[in-house]
Amino acid sequence: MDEHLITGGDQEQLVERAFHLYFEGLHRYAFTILKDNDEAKDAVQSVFLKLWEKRAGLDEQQSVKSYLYTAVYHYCLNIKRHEKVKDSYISASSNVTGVQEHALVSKETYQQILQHIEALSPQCRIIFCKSRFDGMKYAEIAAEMGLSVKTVEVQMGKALRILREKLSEFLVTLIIFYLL
Amino acid sequence: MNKSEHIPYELLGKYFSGEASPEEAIAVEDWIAAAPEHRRLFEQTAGLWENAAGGQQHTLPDKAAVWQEIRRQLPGAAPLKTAAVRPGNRRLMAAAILLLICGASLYFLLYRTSAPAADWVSRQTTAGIFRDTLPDHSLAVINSHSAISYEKGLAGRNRLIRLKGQAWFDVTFNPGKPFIVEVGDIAVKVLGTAFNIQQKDSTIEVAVLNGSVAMMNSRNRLTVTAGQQGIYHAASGTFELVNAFNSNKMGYATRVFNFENTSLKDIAAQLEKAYGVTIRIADKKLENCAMSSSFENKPLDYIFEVISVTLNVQCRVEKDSVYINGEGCN
Repeated sequence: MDEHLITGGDQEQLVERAFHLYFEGLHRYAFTILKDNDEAKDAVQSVFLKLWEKRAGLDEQQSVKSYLYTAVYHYCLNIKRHEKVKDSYISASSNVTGVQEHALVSKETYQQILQHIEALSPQCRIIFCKSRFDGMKYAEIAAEMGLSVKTVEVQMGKALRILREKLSEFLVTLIIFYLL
Repeated sequence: MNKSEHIPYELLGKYFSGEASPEEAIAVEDWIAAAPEHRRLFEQTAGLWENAAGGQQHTLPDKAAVWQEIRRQLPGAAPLKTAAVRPGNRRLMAAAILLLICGASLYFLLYRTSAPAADWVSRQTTAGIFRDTLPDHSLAVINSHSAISYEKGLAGRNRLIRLKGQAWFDVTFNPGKPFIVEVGDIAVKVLGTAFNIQQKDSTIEVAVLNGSVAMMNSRNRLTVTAGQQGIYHAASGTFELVNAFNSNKMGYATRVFNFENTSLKDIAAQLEKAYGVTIRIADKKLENCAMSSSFENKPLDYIFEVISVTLNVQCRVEKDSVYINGEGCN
């Protein structure tokens, strides 16, 4: 994947090309952990500045891509750790009030989604809700419910599959409606 | 379409929950990149995840701006070299899903029999292009050597447009009054969407940017959704669905370009059309310089600034003309 990045020779170009290739994926990844677009942007910027400092030490064996993803991961975990100390869960609880910052989908859709979540099997539903609404880590959910982390993973996958299949057409119609 | 067994739901669940390791995040990106269909499914699942609760939704910041911000903080970096803009097109992606148009064939029969011969308005182009706002506030951009005609005021039961050649339509939503483009011996029917029709010698191609349309003749019909292209083969009377199209094709109307290793000559030709300018390249050698960049409805000055720093040329914009000279690429 990264070979063509390295052979460019020019280290500065390498950083720039890496940015163009991985910016989108890195930002999305940072967002999944931080749940904040601005903080995710800061994470990506900081990681590329680090890559710049390290650029002389980059050799052909090193995968720039995996370096960047790993760096973003650690940066985000650090931020989370600080946040936890700062305000334990204020931001997380404000996330579950149901206030839509982007009105891409209507209240009706929101109700539809909730309705389908209600229809999930009990274990599946509880696990999905603890993750999505309470922002709990897989390990925390597993510990609280006396399950293995693998079971949590499987149930989360199942919840996503069922919800997407049930809701896909409904979501689409509305999304298109909002576009027009 | 429903290849649910191929969707790595467990991986996506971990990813959206913020539980993915760097390796897993890379696996998600690789999966998304592997097929356009994957990206569509990803967007759909992301939409579901984000809409299940409040809070922020993922929005990609302006790429060029972020890169500039990084550069500003780099010690001793060379001045700006290239810029690329590719804002997140979540909305387009989200729309890349089927909107079923029920009873389309029925409409086909209806409008075929009821097409009126009343007062018709015609627009014809020669070398230039023509941007026309239709009576229903839909936008039609008619490419060179093409023509459209429609009933005055679009007063009929359907919004019926006749097309020869190539045109882009951005259609106002009105489910009660279908928008139908008659081209060759087929009809393209929409509820509200943006799409491009190109009539060629033996085919008619319909590329859909968002929403969806139905293409039909008396025997067959095909639904084409966002990101797809429907091709009608006139000889056999059959339709073909292609899951991708070159968005530069519609650049003359949308001013959205995604150049990948494209020569300055080709870039200039497309920009001339989209912006109604004449571009003069001083040296034949410069015409073959190639570059990659995306522009989404950017002002002309911006585009030529990017071109000049990328290809090491000077661009001078004067009224309707742009002059390019310089040493050029390597």
